[in-house]
Amino acid sequence: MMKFSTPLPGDAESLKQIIKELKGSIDEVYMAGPSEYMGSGRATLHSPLLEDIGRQASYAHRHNIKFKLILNSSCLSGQHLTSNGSNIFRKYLEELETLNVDMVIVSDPYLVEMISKELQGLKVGVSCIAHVDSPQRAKFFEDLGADEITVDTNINRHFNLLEAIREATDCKLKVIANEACLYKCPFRYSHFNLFSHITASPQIAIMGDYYFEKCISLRVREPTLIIRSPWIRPEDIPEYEKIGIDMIKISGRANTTQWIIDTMKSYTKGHHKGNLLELLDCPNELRDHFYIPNEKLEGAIKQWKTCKKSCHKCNFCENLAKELILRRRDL
Amino acid sequence: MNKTLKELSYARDRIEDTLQDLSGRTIFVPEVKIFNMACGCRGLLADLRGLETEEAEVFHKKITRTLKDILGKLGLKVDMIYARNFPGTYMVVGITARRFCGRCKRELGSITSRPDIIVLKG
Ligand SMILES: [Zn+2]
Ligand SMILES: [Zn+2]
Repeated sequence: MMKFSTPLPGDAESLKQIIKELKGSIDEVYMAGPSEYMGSGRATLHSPLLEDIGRQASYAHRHNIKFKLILNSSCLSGQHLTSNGSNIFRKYLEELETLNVDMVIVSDPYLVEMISKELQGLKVGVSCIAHVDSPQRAKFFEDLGADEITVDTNINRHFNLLEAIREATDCKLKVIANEACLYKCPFRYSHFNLFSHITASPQIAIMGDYYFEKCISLRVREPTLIIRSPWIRPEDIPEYEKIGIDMIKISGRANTTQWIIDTMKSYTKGHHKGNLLELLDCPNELRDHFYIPNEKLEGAIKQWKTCKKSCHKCNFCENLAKELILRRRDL
Repeated sequence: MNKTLKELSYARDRIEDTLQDLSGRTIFVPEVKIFNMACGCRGLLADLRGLETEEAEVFHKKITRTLKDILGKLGLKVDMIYARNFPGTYMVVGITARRFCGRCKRELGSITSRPDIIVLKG
């Protein structure tokens, strides 16, 4: 049976509601840590206090669910390598160890090595922000001390690579199913860096989120890009089980609790009826504008599993987009 | 539904369709609102996804015609219609139709010198 990892918004009430609704079908929950210690790669709604983390970890454990913390800033501005910063991070991580957090998920190789060498009670996972997209990189992180790897979402539909990574490493392997970033998104590094800095220093006043707005505008103009994004339908999870992926991670910690519950239910049941966009961790705007009937995507995975990803020659996604994507207004 | 709201919902659809027809691309109008500012300016604002500055410039006559028609139905008069782009890019993020207050009317010059604003009708 495939295992599932569930996002948490960060507050205790949401955790209780999520566990009440999903108990028995999820194996772990994860959320972002307090932003005063370290930023993270995405927007964060609640910045929990350390006591909250401890309480939420024990609550999850009482229900036999693992509790993981995401510390996946893509840029730490060198703080972790200064003696002052490294002391602060060390203290913070030791604190997380005493609070019985099962694992911290990081993207910086130095943190992977340091945590695995020096904090015996804390496991360490590699974030998708470390862009593990080859057996070589997976092996490299395993040798540094990683217990688990979330692979780069760009290779979600590259089965040959996923299989090669599976063969190369004994780490637990996770795939994110519903993150709907552009395939080979050119904004990814810059956007993660932006969030890493503004979640750590909220006083930075930006003119607007260029990457976010550009990403939506591109997809509104060219809906084929939505089909090309490397999301995975709930119905296609067994394909990943077959090649030895250990866990499906659902992204969306900045969404509402009810959305998380609904999305998780579709994935754990392996079935969704209606608009595929309802499941994807994408801006509401896309859901408001487009309708993609999930049932009609049945079988598309066959093409994606073996596709050479030369979109300019293939046109498979383009044809699907023309055939399937509707404006919600036209329904 | 109240009459103004009905007109607004019709306006949202119509702006979306017009821009889509003109550009030949899917364009999305996530939100349309009428506003009344503290200074006294009032008007209509449509948030936009998918339109590019060049298209706003090329089709400015047809865009302003559609907007004036919509504004007429809402009983709004307007001095200026302009598109606003994300600074430094060619993404249009909104179109505003605005009736100026006395002060803003005098300072109108400052709006035309802003790099993020394309005046469609002034
Ligand atoms: Zn993106
Ligand atoms: Zn004014």
